Amino acid sequence: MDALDRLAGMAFPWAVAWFALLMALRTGVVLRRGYRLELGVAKGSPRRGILYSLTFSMLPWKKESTRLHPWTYAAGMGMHLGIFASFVFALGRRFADWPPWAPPLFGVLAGLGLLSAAGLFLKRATRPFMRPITSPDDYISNLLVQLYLLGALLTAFSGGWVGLWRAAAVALLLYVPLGKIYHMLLFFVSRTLFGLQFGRRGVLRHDLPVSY
Amino acid sequence: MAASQETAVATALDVIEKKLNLPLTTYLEACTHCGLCADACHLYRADPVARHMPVFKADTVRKVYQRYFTPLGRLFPWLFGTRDLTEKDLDGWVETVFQCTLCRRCSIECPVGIDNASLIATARQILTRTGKAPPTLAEHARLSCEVGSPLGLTREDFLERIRWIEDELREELEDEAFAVPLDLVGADLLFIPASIELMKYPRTVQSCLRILRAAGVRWTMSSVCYDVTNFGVFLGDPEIGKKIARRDIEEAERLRVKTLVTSECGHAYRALRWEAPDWFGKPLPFEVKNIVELADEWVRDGRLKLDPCANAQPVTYHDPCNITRNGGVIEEPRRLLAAAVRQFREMTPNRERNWCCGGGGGLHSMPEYKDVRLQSGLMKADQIKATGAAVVATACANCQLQLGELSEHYGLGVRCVSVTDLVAEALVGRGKAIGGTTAARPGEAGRID
Repeated sequence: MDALDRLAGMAFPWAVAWFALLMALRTGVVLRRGYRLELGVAKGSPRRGILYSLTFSMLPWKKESTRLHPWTYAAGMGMHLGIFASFVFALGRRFADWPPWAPPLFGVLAGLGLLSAAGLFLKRATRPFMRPITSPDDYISNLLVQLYLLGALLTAFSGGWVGLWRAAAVALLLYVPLGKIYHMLLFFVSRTLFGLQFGRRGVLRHDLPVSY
Repeated sequence: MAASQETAVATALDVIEKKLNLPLTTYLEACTHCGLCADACHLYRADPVARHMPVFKADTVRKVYQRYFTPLGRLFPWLFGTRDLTEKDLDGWVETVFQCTLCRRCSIECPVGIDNASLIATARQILTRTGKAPPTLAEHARLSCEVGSPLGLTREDFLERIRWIEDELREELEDEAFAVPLDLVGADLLFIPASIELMKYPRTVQSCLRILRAAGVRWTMSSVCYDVTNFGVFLGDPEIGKKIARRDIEEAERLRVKTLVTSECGHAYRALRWEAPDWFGKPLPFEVKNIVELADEWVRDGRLKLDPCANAQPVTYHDPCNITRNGGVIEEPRRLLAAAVRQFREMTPNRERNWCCGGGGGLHSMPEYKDVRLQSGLMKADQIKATGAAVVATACANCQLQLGELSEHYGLGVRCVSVTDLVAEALVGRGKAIGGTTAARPGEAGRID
């Protein structure tokens, strides 16, 4: 594990640089594609649409798709919460000492994330309707996340697994700008565009009374 | 004739390259393939096979993008389950992307906010450009461009039709002086119907004309531009869309009207109201409104008086996807129906989450997909049945056509009408109500269940 830790430690700054450079390059390419606001006269509020799209519309009861698939929604939220917690945990370990209660808490969150990611992997691998829309990239992305969450979980409860965690982080950093996890950035762009257009067209208006 | 293999592939790549703006690139890149869009699709709910999943349809273009436009896809295409595009692949796309109504319900339900319909429209554009679009759809577009109507209705046919409608209205309104104003320069409104209404639902055209007359506004129709539909939308091809829309726009400019009024034709409204300004790269020099929006305004400002007693049977409303989800005309028909009918019953879900009837996206013009189209109306049929309504009103002629067929296919036993039909029935005063004599006062409008 020491050897892995040393190797991962050496690779880590390069992986961060690779990640930053490729993310910037790829994002630059995407942004350069350009966007022009719809020219039809607005009927609703784009600002309100964006706000709604980035907040309340993501609540589980707001969408039929999440109401129909509560476990998938929960797993998605659990996985992303786990990733975020593990990232915060990693940063904290690097720049400050966590109080003694913190690592187990992060460990639990990472564990929840791992369980969720594994559940989503299983769903993808076993449900017939998922296969036609699945490619190796989907599996690789999920496995890399699982490995990272596993590293965080083990490190939270035992300091001896830092090498594994760091190696997982390196692998993740190398792959994110190239594969499906790149959606971590475009998710917000996509939701903003959604809110902008549907808000502008006056589609996202709720609970208005039906009366003269 | 289909292009050769090389030309077809080059055309496909060219279409994608030219359309790659920020939104399209985002929708191509940000999909997580979670599959949650599947259950949002009426086609998939009625027949849960892979080709009906919105993400599967969108993946046609996405896989080409990954193969030819992303660094990792260029090096390791297998990673994204993609490969070199062939003409055979394009042939395989036809059924996948044209068996879709472009209703965008999946966009509303996507956790990421991916607009699958814009990707599916891109696939349709590729197939159109490579000569692989369903022949009937392509023929309707050709007729629209060359004759001025997707049904091949000539100017003479139109004039004959409108004179007949005029005669009917004179009798009905007991107004010998009534005449449809044609080519009136300087009118406030230019009303353009859809060919399908002129041919199949002349009653709806009469209803629109009665509403325009009752409102006491200066309106006109055009003798050279008498069809508002736009098959460019169905083919996903903005160039065809522009060609067809240009005729409407130039006529509205020639007649110097303030507002172009579309009839109850969902995609036509969407095309002119929302897409055309982007196609031409500038806002239109006049307003575009749907007749339902205007009627709602006129009821609100007291120009039109309605008597709900004229429509005593329970009525439900089907939200046309292009009017509601893609057009933002949501509360207007509801307010109108609340004033024009005795009992209004909402379907569930409704508004931007309504189920598509299955007739949109040009599907009604592709006879080879009739079985799929009727099957895909299952969710809508169940919704209608649950309301117990005797009448289904809608604001789109295409939906009306499909709802009528669904009623027959699923034994619903409902009457399918347009919103303007019910409004015209309920008109009092200059509109001459058939059923009632008094106007509804605010607060007295039709009951909402």
